[in-house]
Amino acid sequence: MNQKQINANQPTRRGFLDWIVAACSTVTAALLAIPAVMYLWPAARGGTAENVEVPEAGSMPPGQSRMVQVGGKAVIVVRDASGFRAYSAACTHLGCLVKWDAAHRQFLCPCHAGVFDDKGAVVSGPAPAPLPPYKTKEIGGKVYVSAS
Amino acid sequence: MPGREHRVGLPSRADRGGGARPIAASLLFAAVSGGVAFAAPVTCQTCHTREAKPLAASVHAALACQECHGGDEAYAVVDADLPRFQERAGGAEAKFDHGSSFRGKPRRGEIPERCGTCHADVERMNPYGLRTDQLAAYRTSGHGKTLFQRGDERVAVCTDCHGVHDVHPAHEATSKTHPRNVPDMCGSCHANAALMAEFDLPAGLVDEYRHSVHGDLLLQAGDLGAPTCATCHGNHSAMPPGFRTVGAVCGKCHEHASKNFETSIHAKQPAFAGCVQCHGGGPSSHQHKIERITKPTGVMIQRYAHLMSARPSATPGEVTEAIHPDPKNLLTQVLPGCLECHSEPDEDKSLAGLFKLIDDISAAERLYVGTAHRLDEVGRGVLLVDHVRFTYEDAKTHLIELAPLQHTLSNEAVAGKVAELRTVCTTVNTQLDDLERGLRWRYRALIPVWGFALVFAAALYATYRRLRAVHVQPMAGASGK
Amino acid sequence: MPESGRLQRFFSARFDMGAVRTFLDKQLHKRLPPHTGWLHVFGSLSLLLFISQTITGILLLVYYRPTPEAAHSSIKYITAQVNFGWLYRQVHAWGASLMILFVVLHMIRTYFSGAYKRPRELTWVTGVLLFILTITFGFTGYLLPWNQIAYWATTVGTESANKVPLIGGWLRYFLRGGEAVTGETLSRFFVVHVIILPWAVTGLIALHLVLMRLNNLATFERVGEEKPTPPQAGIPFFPVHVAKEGVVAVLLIAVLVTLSVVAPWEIGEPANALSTPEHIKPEWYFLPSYQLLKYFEGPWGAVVGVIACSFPFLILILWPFLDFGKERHPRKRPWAVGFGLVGLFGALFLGILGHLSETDMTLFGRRYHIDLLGWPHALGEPPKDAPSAEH
Repeated sequence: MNQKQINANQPTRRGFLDWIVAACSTVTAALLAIPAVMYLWPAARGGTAENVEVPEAGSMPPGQSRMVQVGGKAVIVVRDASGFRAYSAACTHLGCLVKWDAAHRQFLCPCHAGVFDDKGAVVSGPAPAPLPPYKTKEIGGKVYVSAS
Repeated sequence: MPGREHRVGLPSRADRGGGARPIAASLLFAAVSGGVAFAAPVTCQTCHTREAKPLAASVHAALACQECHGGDEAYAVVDADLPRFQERAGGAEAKFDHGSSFRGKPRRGEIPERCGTCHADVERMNPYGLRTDQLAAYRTSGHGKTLFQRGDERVAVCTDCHGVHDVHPAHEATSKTHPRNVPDMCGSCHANAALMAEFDLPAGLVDEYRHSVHGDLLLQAGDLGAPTCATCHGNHSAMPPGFRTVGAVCGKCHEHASKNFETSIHAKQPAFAGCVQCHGGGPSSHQHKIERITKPTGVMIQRYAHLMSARPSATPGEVTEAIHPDPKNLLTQVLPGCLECHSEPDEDKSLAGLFKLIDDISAAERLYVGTAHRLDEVGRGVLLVDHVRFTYEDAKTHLIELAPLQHTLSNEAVAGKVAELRTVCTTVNTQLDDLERGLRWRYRALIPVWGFALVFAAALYATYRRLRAVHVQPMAGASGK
Repeated sequence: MPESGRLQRFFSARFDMGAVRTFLDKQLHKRLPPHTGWLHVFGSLSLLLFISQTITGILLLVYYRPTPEAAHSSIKYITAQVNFGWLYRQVHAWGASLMILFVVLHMIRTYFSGAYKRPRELTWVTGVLLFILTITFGFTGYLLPWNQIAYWATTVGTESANKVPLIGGWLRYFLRGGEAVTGETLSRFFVVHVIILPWAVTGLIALHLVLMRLNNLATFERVGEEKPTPPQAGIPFFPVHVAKEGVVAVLLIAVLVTLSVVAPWEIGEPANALSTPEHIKPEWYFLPSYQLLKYFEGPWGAVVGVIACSFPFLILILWPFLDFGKERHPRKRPWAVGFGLVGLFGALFLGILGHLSETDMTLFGRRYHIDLLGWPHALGEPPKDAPSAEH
């Protein structure tokens, strides 16, 4: 390539080249910055069901309960003769955490004396709705709870 | 103490305080015979070491010899006289006088009731939490009836199964009644051809059991949950199970299979012998060699897991070879049994249903392993399949449920379960497809990335050439460059 | 523009903007020697990769958790859940390998062009130190995913510290933070990887660049006889050389993304201290040392092996002071070039042996098993054929 050729082409070709380089630089900057921002954006966890193992579920005597966290929410797991059942532990009244009353086989809310039966249905007290159930699954001696 | 009358000649612990009387009597005797040196009081253990040692190690260590054999607690014997009574010192010269309460070694026929003096005594057994119905149960057993009704002392009595002085609880590995020792223990009589011939009983049963699926589990795999002789026959009330009740015995453990079988067409055939019709193998007609007809699903899953841990990069072909149940193989295993009754396979329409059943189940197994393999392959790379694996666990449950379900011989029931399994596998495959589609998107994105990079690089290169021409004067010596 | 004018006034009221601008202009447009070519981009590519490692490293730190319980699952989370997490993890992992590759290429270029000679000895020494720190970066970063391969490669790697004479046991204990590779090891490797090394490397790079700028780039002229180039013949760093480096940089980023997609690093099984996987091998840049160590057996042999492995680094650091000839052009210093080539191909050969050892391969239609030391053994052949196979 000789000097004359370059000079002859200069006005248009130079402008075009500079434009391409500028455009590509901008695109590159965007390509580097946008994924980084998306990366930093808290990832949605909703896509896959979270399965939480109930610790030492095998050693739970029937009739007893255990609390686990599923997706950051308190869940109460009860074992009876037929297996494991899980309910949201948050009372549907004002969100206090219910306790399992093994003697009477019911959930008691300590705040305003709400009572739910062993299937989560309201028995008495101010609670407007039953306790939402969670899914339980037994795999190889371990018990997992997930949002249904 | 109202119970005392029953314990004839057996001094209770409370009575043994009076043990001073025999010693005093012996001393008197010794004084009469002239002043000779006495050893420390002679007890049973002084001579009967062979019996005392195992007794001390046994569950009956706290029992005194007198409780079973009577006799005195201690004897006054002149030291020099002792060897005369001891057999090991070249034969006993004289018979030792064990005293008036001595009852000696019981006859075989007396043993059950001798043991029963304690073991049938509720008050006596209460502190140990032991049952007291064993003697009663024994009376109802084949052994007990032969003994008590016919007076035949060749049958098994307590000591044959539990040991004489070396009685150990069943949970100890050295105990004769430990599950793993039970076949040997029963076999000590029931595998004795000469003895069994006297009773007109077969002697090969124990050996058949050893080679059965149950014997394999107990003796080879060490599975203590596997049934021993006593699991089916009972222990103290040992009875041969009645012919029609074999199914009921199997159903104690194989609950689902047995229940499902009751609904099947075979259960209604009077000529059909129940479980043993298909599962009872072995040369004799006593069906003690209980067999699996086909490779069970659990074994297949185990084999697959084993293959994967040994050779993670196995190809689908290798997986098939190692695990997949081949329907033709299945048929060659199953068909001979069927043909015993269904003699004309070509004309018998009912057999076609069986083929469909086998096809359905083996298709389900292939689907299960194929999906497992794909799951493992996808998960090995950069994709995460944890949640898919969780879904997949349901497929395993369905597959294992198929094993008892096939006993219904109902194509609909099996096809329903297979359909459930298929649904789970389809879900799993769809989820894996979605994951892999994400990967393909990455590959496709490489095309625009490279297109862009090449354009950018070319533009920069052209710019470089132009800028160099503008900014750099070629050196005098390097102009040719 | 009034806006920039106001800003300019704001700053020039507070410091001598003219001096700063003159300095920056001078540095930016500084002329490099006319022969500065495509081989001179390896250094800046290494720098580019270091910057890329820093950025991707910071991004990974947002979600990574350096504990044995959470490390592996946090990597999984980054890979599977976070937007573009897979890309940043892969670019970081591949960037590490490429950075070491480009540092090595940069050193090869410097070595063979004699650029380390007076007055640039210190630039070379800082460069070798940067090379060692880069390898340490690789070693410490490799453990952080806390998967089986990482765990056991680190166990083997720290075990070889035990063979250092006198202080070996103590050194291993110190590196591991205990008797075995545990959470303590993870913690200290993490601290070294994300705090100590980044700042140490940043400082050394700054020193390396300042020294490079003070002495400008070397030419092929004899030491002490360099002729000044006419000012207009030099290549201005900006915009000419930068444009050239831009070409390579764009292609490098594309290669990095391609490798991330086509040959991703696997997540692997979580570390398990109770089960050693088969055929643990270190990363490619450790393979020559790994293979060399195998030939020294016994307690004293191992000591010799460790010395033999660290000797090349000592030679590298001292090299400018050992090779005091005045020539720079490779054709005029056959001994230095020969020595360099022997070292280079020796390392390459050992690396290939290390890669092939304990594997089976087919050569000329026959299967061979390559043993631990790299000797091939024919497989499935009758014994009488074995001797002839050697010919």
